[in-house]
Amino acid sequence: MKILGKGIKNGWLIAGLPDAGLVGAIATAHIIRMLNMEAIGHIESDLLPPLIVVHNSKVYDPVRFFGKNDIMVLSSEVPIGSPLVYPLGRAVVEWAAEEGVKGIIAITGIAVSNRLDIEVPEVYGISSSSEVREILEKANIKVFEEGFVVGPTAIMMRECMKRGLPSVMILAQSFLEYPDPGAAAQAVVALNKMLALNVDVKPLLDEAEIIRVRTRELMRRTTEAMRQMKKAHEYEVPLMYT
Amino acid sequence: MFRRKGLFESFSEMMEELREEVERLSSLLEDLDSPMWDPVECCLTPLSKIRDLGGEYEVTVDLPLVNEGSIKVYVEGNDVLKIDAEMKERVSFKRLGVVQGVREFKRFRKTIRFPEPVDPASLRIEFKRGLLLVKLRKA
Repeated sequence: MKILGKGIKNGWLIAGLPDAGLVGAIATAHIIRMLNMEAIGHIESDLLPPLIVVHNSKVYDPVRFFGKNDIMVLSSEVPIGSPLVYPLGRAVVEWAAEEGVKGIIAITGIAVSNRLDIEVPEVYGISSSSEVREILEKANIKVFEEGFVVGPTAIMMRECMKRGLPSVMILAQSFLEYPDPGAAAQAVVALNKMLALNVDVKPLLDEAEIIRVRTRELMRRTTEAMRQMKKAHEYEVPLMYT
Repeated sequence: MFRRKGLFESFSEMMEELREEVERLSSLLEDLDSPMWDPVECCLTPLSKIRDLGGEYEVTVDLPLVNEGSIKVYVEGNDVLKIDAEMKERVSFKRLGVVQGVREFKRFRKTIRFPEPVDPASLRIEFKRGLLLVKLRKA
């Protein structure tokens, strides 16, 4: 696995990969659009599906990095299947460390069975160290206290901790297998508070229904990827709690 | 203190895993590689999920851009659920995949075959925030 591209020194990398409710993918797509970010790199790997993405007659890689000012975004237009999770997590963190990135903020959905009854999803945060915990506290983001987190964001955080790279995970209550722009909007609100991004979430909420229509295929394939990596573990309670 | 699982408990867990795998494989066979749109009928396939709750099936179907009044749900025979819903606005896809032309869609359609017969008279539906919930007792 190779990452081609130049990172932004001392910038935060926001990672939003297809996962529960496509929360990370929808949130990062919205941030890229609203901040008018430009592509700064991409991931090359034989483990990715053998495809290219064509937008306006131009060919792109499916997993790309975008950047503007001191913010970078990692976004994928394909699900990250089980065989990709570890190599991708390691490669992204290694690249971020080598490029002098300040830290990684991973956005994901945390599936809740009563999501249909929740008007505004809660957002929780996990931090890798006390240094970054302060960022969550200042932004009034509740701490995710106990549970399993499964998927590429989990591996990224683990790799960050191994390398001493600051990392934060933002988890928004979401559907598991249905695209959830409402949860993505709350994740962006949390990021706004943490990084003073000033990304307007109104367009995301206004377009929520059409986004749900347009992301059906990605959600379907992501659901299968999540099953393979036993995403359902997140519904379970861990044994150790000290 | 750990408690060893009883034979019945282990068997139940095994059956539950087997049932989930059968559901997963059936939904894959039906869905994963089939297109989620039909340009001839101008309809889209919604995301859906079937859960076997023991005595009944629970089906959820994601129907964004749909008004409750336009949803038709009915059981055909005793094991096929059909859902048809008109969207309140047409959805246009530019250069849609292999078609490479603008296509407009105006409704969702979904057919679900249950592994076991159901009682059509037990049909109950609920629609909330664009998500349809269907419950049917097993016959």
